[in-house]
Amino acid sequence: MHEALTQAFHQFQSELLGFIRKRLPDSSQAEDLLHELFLRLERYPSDKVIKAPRAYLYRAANNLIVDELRKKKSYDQRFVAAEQEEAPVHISPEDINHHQQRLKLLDKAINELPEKCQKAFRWHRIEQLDKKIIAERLEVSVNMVEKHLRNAVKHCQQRLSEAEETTFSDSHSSKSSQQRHHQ
Amino acid sequence: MTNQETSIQMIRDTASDWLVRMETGELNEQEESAFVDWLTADERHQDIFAEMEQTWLDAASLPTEQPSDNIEADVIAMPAQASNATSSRNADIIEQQTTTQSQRPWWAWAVAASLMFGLISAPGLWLSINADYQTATGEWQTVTLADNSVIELNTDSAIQVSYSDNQRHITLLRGEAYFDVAKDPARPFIVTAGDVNAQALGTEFAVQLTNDEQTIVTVTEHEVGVSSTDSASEKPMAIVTEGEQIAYQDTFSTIQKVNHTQATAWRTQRLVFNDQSLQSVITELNRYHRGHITLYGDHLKTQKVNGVFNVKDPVATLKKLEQSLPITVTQMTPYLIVVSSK
Repeated sequence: MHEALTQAFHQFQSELLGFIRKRLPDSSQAEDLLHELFLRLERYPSDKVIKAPRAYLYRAANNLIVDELRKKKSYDQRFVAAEQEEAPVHISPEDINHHQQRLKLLDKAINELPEKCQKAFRWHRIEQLDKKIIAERLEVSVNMVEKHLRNAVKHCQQRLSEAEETTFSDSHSSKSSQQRHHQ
Repeated sequence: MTNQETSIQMIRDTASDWLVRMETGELNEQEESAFVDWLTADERHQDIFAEMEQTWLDAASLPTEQPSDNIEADVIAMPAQASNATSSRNADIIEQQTTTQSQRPWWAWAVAASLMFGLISAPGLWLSINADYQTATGEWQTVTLADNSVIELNTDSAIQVSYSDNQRHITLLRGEAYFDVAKDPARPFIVTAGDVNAQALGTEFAVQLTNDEQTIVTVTEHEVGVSSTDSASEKPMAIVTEGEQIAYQDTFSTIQKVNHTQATAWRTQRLVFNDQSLQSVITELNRYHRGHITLYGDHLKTQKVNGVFNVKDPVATLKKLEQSLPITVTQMTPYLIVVSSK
């Protein structure tokens, strides 16, 4: 149990609930999500220092909300598909494949970046190097490293988001053609 | 690049700025409050920030060595069905992912599951598909429709137009618009914004959808009939006449008298504040500013503001306010301005 986070949770829980309710207006669902957030806090390593716990809580709550909305959307589509195929809803090989594709796309997106930007991002994310060490290795300022990191994550997010839209329409059309095939 | 894309690009700029700041350093109290303000200000901020955070986390599970060329070059085109098409390279990636999982921050668990259901899309992009006319932050547009009705779009706004033989229907998807409606008794002119239908009764009026999902109808000439979209009745629930304003959020407010020239001063690129709280002034300026302005310090929120300002330059407005109010305006990054106590 992380004391500072738990304390912050109690301090800010009513505003966090307000934040959740804006996007999940169903109040029992919003309260479930707040409870889920609390459960996650319990798993957080207690020795880590958090200097901005309120920002942390909002980030965590936001991830849970966006995740929930996405699941809902996906579930609705699956449910319709499953009902028509009379099959149970389950995680299909397509989903797993989707994750693999996402990582490949990410790798490809990183390769599109300028060399120093790529290096800074890979070193920071994959090798978990500190920004100061990266600055020394690349012989640039720490500010420049931060700029590379911003540009890298922005570019990758854009590429993944573009691909999601394409995949979404693809898998959607392939699903309906599959159904036609069944009948 | 369309307007909508420009404003998404700006949200991406700000989101990446926040993410990298938090991931490579610590926020101070003022920045923390600014971040929460920014995140809670707009659903698009929330969606894009979550996606960006997901991308950031995913990058940690890529293999350490430089990728070789045998990774599928064009994965988008790869059909998404055969699990046996999984190459050994993919297996490597998955393994790498499991081994690095322990280094992930705790909220990774919250988002990891979403990989399985990754139907991500920025709502702004969907919006741009639906919208017929739209403006970016700090842009204005005047549209003349086939029947000579004129629509003026305020900053960061979008509308959808659908005209048929028996009805003229406009949907305000985002922001604010002013309608100067051409008379045509055979085809009613109806604006839908959020949960509100506003029917023109030969008229000029403005409709605004705020970030906190309030719909505001301001009438500058003649009358407008308003009703909730839930209402089954054909009859309007209220008639708003010239110089009046009504707001809707779950239910209709009482009708208020307003100075309608002031309320629609944006049409002439002006902002008029009459004893308005600094908090509401900042909210208003944010609509016109490319980036984010945040107010720090509770006691400042109720500070009264008076004056006429140019909407085209919110930063200059802040600088003017800095001279007359006990505030300091600090540009923290290209995207973030903090207003705090002197």
